[in-house]
Amino acid sequence: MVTKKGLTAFMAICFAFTFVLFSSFALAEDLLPGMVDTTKYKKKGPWLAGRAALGDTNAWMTMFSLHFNYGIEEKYQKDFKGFKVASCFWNPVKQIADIEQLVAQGVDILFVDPASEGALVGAVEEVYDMGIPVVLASTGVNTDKYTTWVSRDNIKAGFLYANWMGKKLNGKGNVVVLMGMAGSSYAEDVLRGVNQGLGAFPDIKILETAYCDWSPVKAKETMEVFIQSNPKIDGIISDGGQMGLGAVEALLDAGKKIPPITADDWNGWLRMAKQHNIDFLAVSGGNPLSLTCVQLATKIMRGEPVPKIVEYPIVTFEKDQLDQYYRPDLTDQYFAVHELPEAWIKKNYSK
Amino acid sequence: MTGSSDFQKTSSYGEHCVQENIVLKIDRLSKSFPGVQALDSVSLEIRKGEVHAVVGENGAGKSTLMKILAGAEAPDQGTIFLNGQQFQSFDPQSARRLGIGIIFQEFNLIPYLSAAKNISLGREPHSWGWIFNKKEINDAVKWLKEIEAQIPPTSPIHWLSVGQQQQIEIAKALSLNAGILIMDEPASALSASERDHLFALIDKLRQRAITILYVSHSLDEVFRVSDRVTVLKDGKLVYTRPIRHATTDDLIAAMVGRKLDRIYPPKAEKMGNPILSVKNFSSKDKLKNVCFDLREGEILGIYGLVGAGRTELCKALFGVVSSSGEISLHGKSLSKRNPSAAIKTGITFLTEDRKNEGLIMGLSVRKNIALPSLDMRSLWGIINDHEERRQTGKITEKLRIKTPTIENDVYYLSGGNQQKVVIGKWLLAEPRILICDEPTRGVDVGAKMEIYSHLRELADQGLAVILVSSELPEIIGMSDRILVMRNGRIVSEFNRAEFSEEIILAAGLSETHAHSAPDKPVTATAFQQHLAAKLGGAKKWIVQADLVVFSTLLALIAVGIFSSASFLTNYNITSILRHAAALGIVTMGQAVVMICGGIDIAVGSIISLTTILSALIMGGSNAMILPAVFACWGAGFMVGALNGFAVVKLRIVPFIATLGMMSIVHGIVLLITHGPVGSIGKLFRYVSRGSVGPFPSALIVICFVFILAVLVMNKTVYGRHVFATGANSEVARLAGIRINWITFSSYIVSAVCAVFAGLYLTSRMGMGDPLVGRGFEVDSIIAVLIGGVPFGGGKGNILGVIAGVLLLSVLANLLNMWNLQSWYHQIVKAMILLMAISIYKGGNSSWPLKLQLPK
Amino acid sequence: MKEKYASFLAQIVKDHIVYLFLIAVLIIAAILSPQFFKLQNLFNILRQASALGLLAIGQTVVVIAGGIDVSVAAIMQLAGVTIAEITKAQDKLVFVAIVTVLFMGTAIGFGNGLLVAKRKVQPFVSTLFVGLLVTGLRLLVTKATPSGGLPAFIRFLGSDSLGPIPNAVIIFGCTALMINFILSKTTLGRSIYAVGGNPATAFFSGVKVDRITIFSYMLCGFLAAIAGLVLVGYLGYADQNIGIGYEWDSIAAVAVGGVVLGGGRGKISGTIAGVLLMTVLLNLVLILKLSVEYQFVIRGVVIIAAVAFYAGQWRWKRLFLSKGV
Repeated sequence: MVTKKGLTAFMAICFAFTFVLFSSFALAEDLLPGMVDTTKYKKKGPWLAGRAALGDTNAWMTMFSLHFNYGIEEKYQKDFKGFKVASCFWNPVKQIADIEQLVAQGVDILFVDPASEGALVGAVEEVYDMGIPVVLASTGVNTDKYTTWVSRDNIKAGFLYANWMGKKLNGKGNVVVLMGMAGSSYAEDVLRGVNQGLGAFPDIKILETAYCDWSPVKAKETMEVFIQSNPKIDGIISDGGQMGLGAVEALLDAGKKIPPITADDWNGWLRMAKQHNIDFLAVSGGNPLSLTCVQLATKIMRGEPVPKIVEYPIVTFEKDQLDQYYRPDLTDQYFAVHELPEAWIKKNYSK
Repeated sequence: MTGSSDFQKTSSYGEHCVQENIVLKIDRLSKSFPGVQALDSVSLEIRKGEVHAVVGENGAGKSTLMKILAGAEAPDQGTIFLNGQQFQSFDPQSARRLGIGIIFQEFNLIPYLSAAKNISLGREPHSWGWIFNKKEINDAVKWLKEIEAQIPPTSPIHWLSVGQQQQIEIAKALSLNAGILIMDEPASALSASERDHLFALIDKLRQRAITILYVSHSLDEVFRVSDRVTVLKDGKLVYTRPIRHATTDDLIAAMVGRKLDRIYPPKAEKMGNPILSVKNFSSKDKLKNVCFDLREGEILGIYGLVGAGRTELCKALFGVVSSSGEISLHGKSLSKRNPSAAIKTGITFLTEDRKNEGLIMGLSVRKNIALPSLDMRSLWGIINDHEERRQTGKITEKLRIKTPTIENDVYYLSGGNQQKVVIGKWLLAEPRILICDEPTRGVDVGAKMEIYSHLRELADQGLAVILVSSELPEIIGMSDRILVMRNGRIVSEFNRAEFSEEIILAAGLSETHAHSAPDKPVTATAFQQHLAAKLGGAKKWIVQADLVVFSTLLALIAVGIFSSASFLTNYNITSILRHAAALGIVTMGQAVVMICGGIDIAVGSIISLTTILSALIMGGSNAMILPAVFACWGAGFMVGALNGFAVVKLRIVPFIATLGMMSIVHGIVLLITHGPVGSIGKLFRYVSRGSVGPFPSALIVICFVFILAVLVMNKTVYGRHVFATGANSEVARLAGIRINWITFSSYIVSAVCAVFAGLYLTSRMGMGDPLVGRGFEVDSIIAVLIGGVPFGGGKGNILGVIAGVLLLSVLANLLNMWNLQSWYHQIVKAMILLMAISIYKGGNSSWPLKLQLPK
Repeated sequence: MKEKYASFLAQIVKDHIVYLFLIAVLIIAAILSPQFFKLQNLFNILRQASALGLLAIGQTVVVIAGGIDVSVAAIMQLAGVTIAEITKAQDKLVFVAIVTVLFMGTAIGFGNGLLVAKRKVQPFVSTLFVGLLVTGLRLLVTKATPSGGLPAFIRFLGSDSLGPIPNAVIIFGCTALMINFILSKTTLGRSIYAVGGNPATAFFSGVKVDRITIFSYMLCGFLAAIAGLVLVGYLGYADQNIGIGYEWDSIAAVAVGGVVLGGGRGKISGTIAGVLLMTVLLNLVLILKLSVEYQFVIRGVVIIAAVAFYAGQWRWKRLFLSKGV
């Protein structure tokens, strides 16, 4: 028999139940989709950080490392008691060993700029399963077992290159594509973006694609050959100013006119562009993302939730804004889009 | 060889041999070399069980005869019957099979193996490849006992004395059922007591009806030990007679005494002033207190038997070897003793070996002649071509050197003309003293005459000539005075009036044991033997050079423990092992190749290729694991076979062959992919990341590989043969080891090991990477080198190499732990390498020759 | 006698076969790439070849003296990055830097020579490992980061031209002429051939074998350093990617050019032809739109072919013999 009292009680219980349910959802709602719960990593600082690095073989990597160092040694220095770095110089097997040894030395959090998305899977997963938070910087790894991953949206970057180039050439012409390191998803993503962008310009043909490891030397040598076999090059899509520099050198040597080129915010490129009045699009390389990694690390170690994937914003500019970014008082190795304090810049990049 | 008409002869000869107890019959054996008839229709019968001595002076044909019997040379004419059977073919294996054992002055032994292993070389007692060490040792003990040799069967023979090594050679020959033992100058390198042992042994052997052919210069030995003696002279047999019917004088007279078939230029009328004065001249222990004078216009002959020290004297005078004592030229003492100083003061030296020391093949006649005197025709270093051409042309004419032009390569000249070029080059240097060592060797009679007259002409012009020759007639015919050397001293001097072949020869032969090699106090050896005996068993392996590696390894581990608390953790050790696994596997293969005397630089690229192939073929599925593994084996096998083929058949030196292969494989790898590709089946991951109980799979893999390597290299026939081939391929070949096959297979082993290492790495990475192999070739070579195996192989132990691998892995771990950048690592490794190779100073200078496999 | 004349002729053809190959390859290249023979392009190729050419000249001297130097590329790279590091792309310290770099190259060459002559280590092996050491030093000096741009003077040397002829080519040409003169007309040159032809005979003839050997390596190191300057002057940038593979190219050029890998034979002219041949061959790979990896294959094949071609000669065993009398 349903009495009035019983019904009220029932409704009260339902309400309480719903309340509990909803409030737990509300609490859980801090964990928006895409966020990672890091409460299990909470540890009293200061923490020992470890980084399994690729090796500073080009200017981008150097500034990338600088941002790491700045983050740990200055900006968040209260939070870290040490920073152990091992470089593998693009050798995945060595990087696996590096990771193992960093863990053996008792790091509290591990940063990795992976040498290979596939080869590092086992090592990263093992570390993650041991309860050590893993922060991936720039390149990712083919697994879900990491805490957070910060990178530039490379597909978008490629798209921006292609889009700009298409418009510049009024939809018609032959271009040469210079990418970074072969076999990494970084380059694949950029290429994908390029192809997507060029989809809108069917009359633009890609003559050659080459992987030049972001080295001006390789780019120059490659361009020399391209020039020889392709007399008419209307545009160059280069994923980086260093390669752009090399390409321009080759063109100058061959006495050719310099076509529109995509590049990045590398100071050496900006110098070259200014000197020769080059029509270009700079898409920032995003090396400061490592600072974001450090910031996220502090959050992780405090147990605060962080996003699973973080995109570092892209900045673009063209030749009319050149002077806002170019620093003639600094060496070529400087990147215009950065987050370092002027003191650090002066120390590392003064001529 | 002989036709069927001789068939009758053969069988009756057979009967004849059996009747007379003749074990070896030599019938009209002849052999000639360019310029000389070494053997001229020699017929000889050797009886079973006798000790038959063969004597004669230098060039009489003794060595040639022995070489033919041993199968090292083939005769031009004549037949040899052994136990009534005719020799069919002349090669060392056949001779051995027929029961002929030969003991040369250079022993056919492998230095770093033990007596037992040497004795059984090529016929190791085994079952399916596994050597029965005990049986081997027992066999050796048996044979050594037979000859009453006091030799521990298990110590490496390079610790033993010369006499003991000789005993091992004899034991080895006996173990091969030698019925005939040929000994070439066996006692010359022995001490007095060892000599006595040898003679006692020969007596014993005679009792066992073993026939011995004893070749020697020492008439004393001949009288002591032989039953009958044969005298050879100028390739002909003079006579054979029982020793009791012979006297020293008879023998000497038989060895010399020829008709003068040549005409020598008339000798000097008078001699000029003394030009060279030598006092208390000694060099190392080959020359002892030599004193003599030399006068202008004189031809001073120096005679002596092989080993007397004549060439040593010439070299010392010229400054090639260091010397003590006084040399004065025209009263002025010569302090700087090196060739260019000698040339400047007017001393010139015509070496014995014109091909290798007198001429530069590939250069023209002109350039060869001009070489020692370049400074005389140059201003500020620039050569006056015109003058050079003129002067060399003149000399060519004067010496009547037959060549189309002086720009021709000397390589194409005949022996006599080549010798004239050598003389010419010294003439152009305006010498005051000309030292000639065997100037007419290998030269035809006509050219000999010309050389004689040139030499006399030079003396008449005021030069002084020192003429070293083994040809008695020549030295008697040419010299104004003769000095005889023996054992590094000048023992006699003869004036023109006293010249006679018998007297001079007698002076040259060793007469007493007075100057035999001293009993070397076997101190170090004894200690090591003692130590080895004490440690016995497995530990003796370590007592060798590996000590350095092991102690360094322990030191590094100690450093690691002290410098970081985390060094000894399970995790860190596992990490070290995982890293060491790949290197360890590939290094085992590299060790096999290097011990065999080669090197494999292609292993790194084979590793890369393997990771790519396996990951691509597996493509993430477990089912494809086995096909992938087999495919990789196949690819590795092929690469290894190509390497082996290039080295063995094309005779390309291993460094270049494997380097080229590396480049090609590297190119292929990069053509397949630029970056990491493929993926592995999930099960495959356990190879590197799994564990059995508390042991990580890496440890299991490493242990398995290391134990396998140790067993194969130390306990199997294959390992033994690899070692022998690397140490001395000639000796190995003579022992019946198929060195071509061994060398070929070593490259396949190396490639397959690289494949296994690659598979391991694939498991570790989960995919393939084209660049992952780089560095492994250098690292594996370093590990092998520091493990005690030098370039050229034949030495060292696989245990040392294992220690080397662990050392490198621990080092890498430590460097990482100290946060040192990888370039420090590279620098440290390069320095270790450089130290290792410079410690093995000129270590194995015969290395390239081993790689050039004999035809 | 007749056979001796025949073999004499065969020898001449064998010695000069590189020129035939060069002409053949040039023709192929011209057919495939019509603008190949444009003067600008030819000069460009020559300019690219200059650094390799300087290396090859040094290598020629060492090989004629009976050795081989596998560390040349490492020395060249070290020189290139060092000059960038010291000058930091400014002209201020250029001359000091150049002197330092040249001294460094010569010193490393001296080290090589010592190991080979005095310690009697096989040249191939010891120079290979010295190369590793030098590479390690280079990484240390640069901390594996790029070294950046070059001062104007260096760029002048490597990139610019005096009149129509690029400076790099002038440097290359002058060096070639000078070394050729030394080799063919001086006592020093004659001694080098002697030491390479037969060190024992040379020694017995009064030639100071050890000194000549050490000198040859020092000269090679010196030229490698110059090659480094020219290379980075041309490239305009010094990072870790400069000059990869050049040591094998220099050996291939020398081997193909008729300088027998064992010593005692060969001329600079052959080497130059070899350099041009290698440069055009490697270029051909790219013109044919083949992947750049084929260059590895070409290098390997050329070396093996050249070596096998001369392999019959007894002389070249000595490459791996310790240099001893």
